[in-house]
Amino acid sequence: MRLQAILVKLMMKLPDAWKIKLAGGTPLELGGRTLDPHFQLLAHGAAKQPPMSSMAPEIAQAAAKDGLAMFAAKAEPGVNWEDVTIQGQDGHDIKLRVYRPLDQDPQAPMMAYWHMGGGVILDIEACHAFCSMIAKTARCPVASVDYRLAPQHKFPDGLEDCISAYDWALKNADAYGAPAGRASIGGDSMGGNFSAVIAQEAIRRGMPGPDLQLLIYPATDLETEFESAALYGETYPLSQDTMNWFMQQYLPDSESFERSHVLLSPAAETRLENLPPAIIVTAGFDPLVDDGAAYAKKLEAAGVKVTFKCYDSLAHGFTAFTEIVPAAREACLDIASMVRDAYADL
Amino acid sequence: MKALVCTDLREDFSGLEIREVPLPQPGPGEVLVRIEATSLNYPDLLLTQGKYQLKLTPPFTPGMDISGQIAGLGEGVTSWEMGDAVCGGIRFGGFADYVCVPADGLQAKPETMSYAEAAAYSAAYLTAYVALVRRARLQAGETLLVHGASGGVGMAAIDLGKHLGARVIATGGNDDKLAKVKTYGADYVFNTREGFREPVKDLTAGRGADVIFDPVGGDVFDESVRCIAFDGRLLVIGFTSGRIATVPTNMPLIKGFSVVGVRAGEYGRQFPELGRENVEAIWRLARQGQTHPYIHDTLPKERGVEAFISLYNREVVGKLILTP
Repeated sequence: MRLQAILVKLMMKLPDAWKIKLAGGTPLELGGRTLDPHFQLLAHGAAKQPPMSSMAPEIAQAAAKDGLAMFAAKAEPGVNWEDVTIQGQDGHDIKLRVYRPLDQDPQAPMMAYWHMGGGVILDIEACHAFCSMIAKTARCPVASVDYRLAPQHKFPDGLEDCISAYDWALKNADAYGAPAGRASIGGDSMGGNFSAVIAQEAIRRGMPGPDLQLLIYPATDLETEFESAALYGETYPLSQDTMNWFMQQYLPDSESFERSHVLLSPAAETRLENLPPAIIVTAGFDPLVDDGAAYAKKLEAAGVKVTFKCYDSLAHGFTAFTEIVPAAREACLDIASMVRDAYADL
Repeated sequence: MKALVCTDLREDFSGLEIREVPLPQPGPGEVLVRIEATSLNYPDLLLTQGKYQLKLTPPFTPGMDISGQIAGLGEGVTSWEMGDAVCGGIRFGGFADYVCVPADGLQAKPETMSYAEAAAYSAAYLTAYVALVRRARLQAGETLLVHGASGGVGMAAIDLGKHLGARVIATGGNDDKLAKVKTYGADYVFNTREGFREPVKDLTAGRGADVIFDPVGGDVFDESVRCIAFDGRLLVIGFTSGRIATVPTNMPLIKGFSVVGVRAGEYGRQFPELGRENVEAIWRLARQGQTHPYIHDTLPKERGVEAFISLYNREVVGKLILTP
């Protein structure tokens, strides 16, 4: 383990009052929410780092992977995994990591999962521990997708990879001991956007719809300026500046589509009534916290079954911080149990 | 270049053949488009049979819905550059390798649409838009009844109707095709052979449909008069049944509905400003991914006659595409 990682872990073991002291002296309160002291200390340390928007995309991609690896948790015991390669639309390879719990429930559908990273950074390592938690708690196989990233592959390439992976899950679920011809979908941040989009797109393309859509601090609306975008615009690890930079990388340089396109802003879709049940969770310290809440309301108004929860004290990206932020681990186990409960209602 | 040319106006489309024709030169204000895809519309059939409102003297090349790339710029054209991906509606000339088009009659092809989808879009969605938005003023929550639902225009009416928030009931004469219509998004489908009047009344608590989109005419029109709501709008789109229906004028009076004729292209010629707004509106929906043309199949234009016959014989769901 690198020295920096050891230091971070040691600091996280300090009493909360000490963490606050090291991170400026007073607890961070914003919009009636108080940030978890672990995140406050991490944010304090990160404030000295150059912003992602100041880096070349390749540098940012490498730095993000390294940075997050510091906090990486191990997979849950009782879950095995294997890496498999499938064919994308135009014949290119897509890597999947398929998790299987030892104590699998043959009734529990396979979940296809897409990681966070704005469509620009990170890979399946970012959600390694979290995917194993879902597999273990919901007792289902989880296929985590290493989709292509921008700016090397701009929208909609990464999304198409995820649709290919969903199609693969439908066709291969039974080979992994799950019900044949069915699958659920899930993802966090950009992966949450993909989940919301694919739940709709599957229906638009005449594919079987997923059994469940799990949306964790998703972006669903690139057009509306939510209050939270300003209020939590400077929070760690996702600032408004970083989000804008992600979109610069992600969106093709073209005026022949709009940001309200339903493949970018699923909240703009007017036909929501036939969508599968949704679990939508948000993080309090996140420019996107209002976005997820608004989409939950929209789906509910259309008659879709929605389970909604906001983890007020946590920050965007918390699924990747389970090793060093105890409340993040609790939240992730809580989300995994929501999936288990939703499966019981299918 | 090669083109699918109508050499003689004939019922059975035997007047259509692939011919070598001169490459057209763009005049002032025109661009030359290298065609990637052209979709087939019912008026193409009528045009080559000599039955359409627009009468052309052979030889001519049909094809009104195109997509492709800019391959030549006429004098004074600054709005496009060579190689730009474009699409749009023209009156004829599309079933060819190249066609000349007024520069302002084209749209940038939406990034998220294939060339085939872009070529399938213009005529069908413009018809649906002028009918539902301009002529019927369809409101969210209203019930829309779409006849001839599996046709290109019918599918577009379902798609746009659902986008506008209507409850959509679709009819057709073939159960297999209706299954595809249901998957595509219609809330209910009924086979006209079993009648649709009672089911429509059942679904609307006896009121009937608020808006009826009728490209079929004949018996379907007659039955529509019996299941339209008070203040309803019965849209006359065309007569694919081959019979032009008549309605005693006491019926619209007693039942308080309107019979509304729809000519999407003529609407734009009569009201140029509104016409531009209509075109802009349908392409904005495409750029937002709110509309989804349904492609039945893509064939090379060498199989053009086969494509015309297949559309004529009602074997097509949505749109058929020809490629150079």
